[in-house]
Amino acid sequence: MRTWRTSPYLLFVLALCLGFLSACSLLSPEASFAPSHPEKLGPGRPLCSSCHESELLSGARKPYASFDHTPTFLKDHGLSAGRDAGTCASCHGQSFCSDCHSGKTMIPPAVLLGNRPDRAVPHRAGYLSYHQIEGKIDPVGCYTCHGRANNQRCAACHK
Amino acid sequence: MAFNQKKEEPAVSTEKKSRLAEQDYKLSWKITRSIQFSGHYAERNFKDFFAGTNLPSLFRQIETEKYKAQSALLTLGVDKPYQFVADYRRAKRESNGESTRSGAEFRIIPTTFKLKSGLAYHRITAAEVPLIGGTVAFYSLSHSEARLWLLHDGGGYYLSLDAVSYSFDDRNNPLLNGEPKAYLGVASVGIRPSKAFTLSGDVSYGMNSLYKKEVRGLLRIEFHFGGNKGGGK
Ligand code: HEC
Ligand code: HEC
Ligand code: HEC
Ligand code: HEC
Ligand code: HEC
Repeated sequence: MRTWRTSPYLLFVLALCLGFLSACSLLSPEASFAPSHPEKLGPGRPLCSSCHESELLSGARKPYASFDHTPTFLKDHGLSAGRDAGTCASCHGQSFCSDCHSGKTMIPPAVLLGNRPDRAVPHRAGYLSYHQIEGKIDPVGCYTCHGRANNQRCAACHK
Repeated sequence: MAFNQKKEEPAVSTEKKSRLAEQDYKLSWKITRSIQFSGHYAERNFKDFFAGTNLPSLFRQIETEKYKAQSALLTLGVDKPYQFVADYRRAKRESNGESTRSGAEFRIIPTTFKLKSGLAYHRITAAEVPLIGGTVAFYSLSHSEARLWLLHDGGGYYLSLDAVSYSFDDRNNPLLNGEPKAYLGVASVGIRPSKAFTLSGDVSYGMNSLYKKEVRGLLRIEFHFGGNKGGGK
């Protein structure tokens, strides 16, 4: 077994890496993102490529089309949210994301967004009775939001 | 108690375990302007998750467990008023066996007419899972799910309807209390007298294994402060 204590060099290398990473983020292209989207959008989910021709989105160095809000993009939005957060922020306020992601709002997303059936909310109302089955089949999707933080409600049954 | 504390030794897996706790791979492919495909592979080795506590938590259910999933999503008509989305997902848990979820959603999102609608069907086939100390030795989690929704947004007001039904194969499933079907309907009306203010109300009616009849009413008042962010949401 290798322990941390036996390798002081490792700590030094780690510190160096962290240093580089933070330096990189200071120089990162994120700074060049527009703070807000200059153009009003129509209702519904935007297809960036319908207005922006095939040039690259400068901040993210990716074609605009890769941010088209297609069902595929929405299903995997976590991926873009992690890498190109600056792009999202030009249109979405934090509260938009918290509708689904905040563990502090003690309202399940299905209730909060019950008036928006077109939105892909993670679970419908009345979910408590059905979650046991879905959770058994495929629990990994649940951990993106539960299990790390908002556990109070769950702890009533899951001791 | 929601979690069965398993006392017996876990079956020894012959498969060599990877030392990576979490792995995810995604492939997204825009085939033509209106056809898009994406594939996803995920693997979790719960024993390799770092945990700062030895208290049992939702996050570390069965420490030795391994989980793998593959999924695919195909969208036809990305930029058209008629959209068709087909999805498939196969997951395998060491403790609960293999399951697949497949289905499709058809959406009509016209640009001129203000009524959007969607119709979806999914079939979930899952392995039988053991029931410890129950009347049956195994029970099945397989089920189908159907959904229909409508949304009419007239600008200053909107109306919506959302109906979901679940139908489970095995009425001996102890989680269902002998009720293999579940339904839920939500009707909603809202007015938006100004951009910053919305007043809406929902009525939902449902039948499930916990409640024979469940009626809920909800009144929502929303204010948007400082929401003057261009095309922001
Ligand atoms: C209704 C048409 C329309 C849609 C849809 C649209 N945009 Fe824009 N966007 C514009 C216009 C017009 C501008 C201002 C002119 C410009 O800088 O290109 C703009 C500007 C931007 C800018 C600032 C450009 C810069 O260099 O400062 C970014 C970033 C941007 N859009 C991203 C997006 C993304 C991402 C999407 C999709 C989620 C999107 N837009 C969808 C019309 C649109
Ligand atoms: C309609 C509900 C909804 C909204 C709104 C939403 N998300 Fe998500 N998000 C989800 C769901 C559901 C998942 C899990 C998807 C999966 O893995 O199947 C997820 C996953 C993610 C992940 C990946 C988390 C992980 O641990 O893998 C990130 C990051 C994320 N979202 C960021 C955002 C950001 C940033 C916004 C706002 C721009 C946002 N989300 C808005 C529902 C939503
Ligand atoms: C040009 C503006 C713009 C940009 C940039 C943008 N979005 Fe969006 N997004 C929208 C609009 C408009 C909607 C539709 C909101 C609605 O239906 O109420 C939306 C909807 C969504 C939804 C909700 C999907 C649903 O209907 O359930 C998610 C999730 C999302 N965006 C994630 C992201 C993420 C992640 C990014 C950054 C990578 C991003 N968006 C960048 C404008 C944008
Ligand atoms: C995108 C984030 C997200 C994902 C993914 C997600 N949930 Fe939730 N869920 C929430 C939020 C937010 C709440 C409300 C928080 C609260 O009440 O503490 C909630 C509430 C719940 C509730 C309480 C519902 C009620 O009616 O009281 C259950 C049970 C639940 N989730 C189970 C699950 C299971 C099981 C999964 C995986 C199949 C899952 N959730 C996936 C965000 C999510
Ligand atoms: C009313 C009680 C109750 C509440 C509250 C509750 N659960 Fe459950 N949950 C159960 C029961 C019962 C089971 C089925 C346990 C079994 O059969 O092993 C279950 C099973 C699960 C499973 C599947 C476990 C597995 O590995 O097979 C997950 C995941 C899960 N719940 C997540 C949650 C989350 C997340 C919350 C909180 C947001 C929550 N539960 C709240 C009662 C509850």
